[in-house]
Amino acid sequence: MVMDYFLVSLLNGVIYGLMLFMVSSGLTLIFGMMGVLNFAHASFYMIGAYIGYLCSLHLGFYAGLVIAPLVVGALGVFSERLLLRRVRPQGHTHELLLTFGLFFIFEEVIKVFFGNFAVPYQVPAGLDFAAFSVGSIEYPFYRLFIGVVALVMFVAILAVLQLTRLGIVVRAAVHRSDMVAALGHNVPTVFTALFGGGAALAGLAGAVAGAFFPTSPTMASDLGTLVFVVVVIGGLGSLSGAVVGALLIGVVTSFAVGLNVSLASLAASLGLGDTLTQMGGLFTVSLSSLAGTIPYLLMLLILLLRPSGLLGERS
Amino acid sequence: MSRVMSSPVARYAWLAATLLLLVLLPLTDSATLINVATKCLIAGLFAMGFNLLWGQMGLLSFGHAAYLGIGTFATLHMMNAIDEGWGLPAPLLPVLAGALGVVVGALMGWFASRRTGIYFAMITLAVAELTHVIADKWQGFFGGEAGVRSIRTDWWLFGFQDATSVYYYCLVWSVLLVIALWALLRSPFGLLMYALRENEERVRFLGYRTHSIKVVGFAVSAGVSAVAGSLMAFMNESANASMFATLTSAEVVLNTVIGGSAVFLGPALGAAFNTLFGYYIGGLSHFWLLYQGLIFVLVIMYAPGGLGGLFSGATRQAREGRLAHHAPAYAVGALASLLIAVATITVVELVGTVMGSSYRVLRLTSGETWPPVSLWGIDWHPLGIGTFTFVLVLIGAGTVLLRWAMASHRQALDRIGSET
Amino acid sequence: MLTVNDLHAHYGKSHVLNGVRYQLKPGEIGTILGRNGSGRSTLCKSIIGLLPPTSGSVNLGGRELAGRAPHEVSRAGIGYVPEEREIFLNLSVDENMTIGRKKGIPGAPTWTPEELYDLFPRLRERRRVKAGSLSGGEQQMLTMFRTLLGNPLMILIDEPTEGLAPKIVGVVRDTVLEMKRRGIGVLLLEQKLSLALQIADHVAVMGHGEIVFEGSVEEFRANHEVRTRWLEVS
Ligand SMILES: Nc1ncnc2c1ncn2[C@@H]1O[C@H](COP(=O)(O)OP(=O)(O)O)[C@@H](O)[C@H]1O
Ligand SMILES: [Mg+2]
Repeated sequence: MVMDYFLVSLLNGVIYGLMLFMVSSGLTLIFGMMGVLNFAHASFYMIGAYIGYLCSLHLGFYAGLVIAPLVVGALGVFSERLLLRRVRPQGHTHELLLTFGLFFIFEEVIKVFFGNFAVPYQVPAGLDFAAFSVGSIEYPFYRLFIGVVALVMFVAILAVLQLTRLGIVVRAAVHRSDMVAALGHNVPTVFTALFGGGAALAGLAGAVAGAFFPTSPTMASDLGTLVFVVVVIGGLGSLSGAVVGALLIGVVTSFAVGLNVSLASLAASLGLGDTLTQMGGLFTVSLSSLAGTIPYLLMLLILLLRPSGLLGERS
Repeated sequence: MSRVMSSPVARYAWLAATLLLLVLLPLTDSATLINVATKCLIAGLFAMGFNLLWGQMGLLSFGHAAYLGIGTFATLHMMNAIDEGWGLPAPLLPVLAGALGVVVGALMGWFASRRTGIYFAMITLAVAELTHVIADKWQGFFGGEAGVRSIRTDWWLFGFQDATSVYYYCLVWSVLLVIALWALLRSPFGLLMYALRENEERVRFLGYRTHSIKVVGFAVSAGVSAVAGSLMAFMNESANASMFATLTSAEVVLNTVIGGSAVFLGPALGAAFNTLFGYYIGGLSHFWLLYQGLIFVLVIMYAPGGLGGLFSGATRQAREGRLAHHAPAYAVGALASLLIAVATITVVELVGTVMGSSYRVLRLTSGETWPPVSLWGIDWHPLGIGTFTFVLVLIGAGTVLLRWAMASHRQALDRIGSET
Repeated sequence: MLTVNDLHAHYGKSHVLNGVRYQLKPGEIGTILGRNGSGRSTLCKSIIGLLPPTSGSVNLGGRELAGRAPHEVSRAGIGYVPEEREIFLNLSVDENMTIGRKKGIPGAPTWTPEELYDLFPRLRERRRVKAGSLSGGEQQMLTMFRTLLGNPLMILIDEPTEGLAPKIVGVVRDTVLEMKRRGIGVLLLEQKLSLALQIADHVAVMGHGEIVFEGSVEEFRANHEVRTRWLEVS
């Protein structure tokens, strides 16, 4: 029973982590290249989910998996080219604030079109069955589907970055964009492409995950801070760091949800009596509630002890 | 802070007039207005505290909700204590809440100030998220969904049972703190804070401990925010953990940017603007947050100095007798903005209504046609040629006028540049 | 021909280039000498566009390049080898070379990776290694090769031999002479007078952001006053 729970949580965590990576990879590369932390990045994930929903109503679920990344990628290119680039001369703070404003606007525009509550974006019937069962737990196939899509994207991202010339240029520009420019590469255009590509990936993640998790206007802010945690833990600008950070956060959050014990009951089971229960306060809060603090505690520790992140190379 | 000083007389005339207006406001005898004004004061004070970090030291905090909330909940618990017979004078509540804010702020500031730029912002964000999760779960102190309630107790000659007395209570505290902030900024220490933002290295070479300066700045900023939180508790007599949400931290950033972080009272101006906007526009439209977001982005792109920057720029031009040069451009620009705003609002409201659930019912009952939507006292056909023409003409005309205004503004600037 | 005319540049408020004039023809090696801080590196950065000049002209074969973005200047045929050997430490040697690869302008000499590796075979042996693990000399050669793969007509090389062992200095010299042989115009900034005077066709001296002397190597050797006033540490 404990073993079953462990296996299922681990699988859920890894799959969620892979999905977090799809959203974080663009964010961390964009930061590495231009020093912009894009607040609106998680909005691309939300918009992807809504476009997936629209497509599932009119064109079918699978069409959404193609259209959502395309539309969201175009939106990313548009935002970078027409808005972000204009405030670049005024410095990073202005860019940050602009993305912050975009985050706000995207959420509200979604509300204008789809209302304040979740929309019924459903897993298509063909994918809605149990893949296998672990003990008494039926494991939904769609979760595996999310995992496979994320894994394929993961391999694709790494292949593009490692093997293509564009990927090599991006990786170089993340470290020294001025030298890349001096060697004849149009860095602003490469950056626009990267911004669009990152947005498209986030959009795809949204279209896939939105069918399983709720598709609502708050999904950007729900995911947004978590994605920041991922890229900070991995090291801003570091792709391999994003992998590690995403899997770590995915697994941690997945395990934390199921832990239904409090510090006080833990102490009691260790024979320390009811002192902590009587003290009340934070000690009686169940650990699963406090587990929500783990990502932020990790993030704080990293920022204070090793701001370049677990795998980041720059200080 | 604004390094360009306007002439003292003009400055103080503005200030005196504003203050007089604030003091006389309760004469309107409108409880709603007084309540909204109280909210403006509190949001304004919060933004002023926030901007001590950003405007003065260039440190962007994405987690000031934590300090506001600490002030609020500390005050609610103190108010309950008074109610249970503790002899705590009510006017002292903000002092104690502020002191708590200073202590917590010093602690958090000590951590956060070890980093700069985006890393600083991320630390403040992490602290605020942490506080939010804890506040959410720790029902004993933060009261869970229901939150914590309390009641105001009268003190000495003062009764606090009506909106007016609460308003004056907040006004006195806000004015006192704003004066204190002003004095702080003009003190040698305030100049050091500013110098730190310009060139931290140099300040260090001069022998100052820059980290300590930042910690003190953070502590004061958190303290002022906690006082704002305390006033909020006093006004509302209740609060719940949702005030720790990122949205609260985001709002103060929004307010400060829209008001202008480089002008001393800019953040307060922005907070007042947004509070009034939320109250009045929020009453008219479901989509007011969208409009607020659009204003924010427009300010970032076209008026990085914010409302305060526009205002101080215009008064400077007036003083130097140059306003006349720019007046036509400003007037046309305002007209153009109005046209574009009307078009945007029309689109948003029509789309929002048409996509809404009540309209869907309307469509079903009308046999899948597109019934007209009423806006500005006119019936609009959602897919009608007239609707599209109206919007396109407004946007077209607005864009043309706006371009003209910007070009003419630039020409006027060039002319002045070549004259001097 | 590369012609720099009345070039001014600032770092913030400090005026670093103060009306520089300079000329370089394809197939010749020019060197600019000067004390540390005289503005030679800044001249390179201004020409390539990393520090946009505040006024003045940079002209290559009739095309005005002042104020252009670095990638445009690079594509117009000017290569740049910075003094800090800014290789991409996280990329392999081959990947570093890939980034430099581009089509040159018509008439510019062209290079292939294999030819370059022939000039310095040790780098070929380490082509799959992360560039961060290379020695200083290997990094310097990689920086030059990377730029040469962009097939430039003119190349600006900023202090290539700083801190290198004598043997590698010889490889640098041979590589620069090979560039000249193929018809590239080389602007070589050097601290080591011996190397510069050995291979340069003409010599200029920079002081306080201006060219204060120009002439042949012989003229420079004969001019004692310029050396004491602008070069030797007083
Ligand atoms: N990044 C920079 N910021 C500000 N000043 C600089 C910078 N780089 C160089 N300088 C200044 O510009 C002047 C010229 O420097 P540089 O061009 O590097 O000289 P050189 O290469 O001849 O030694 C020096 O006074 C130096 O202090
Ligand atoms: Mg130099």
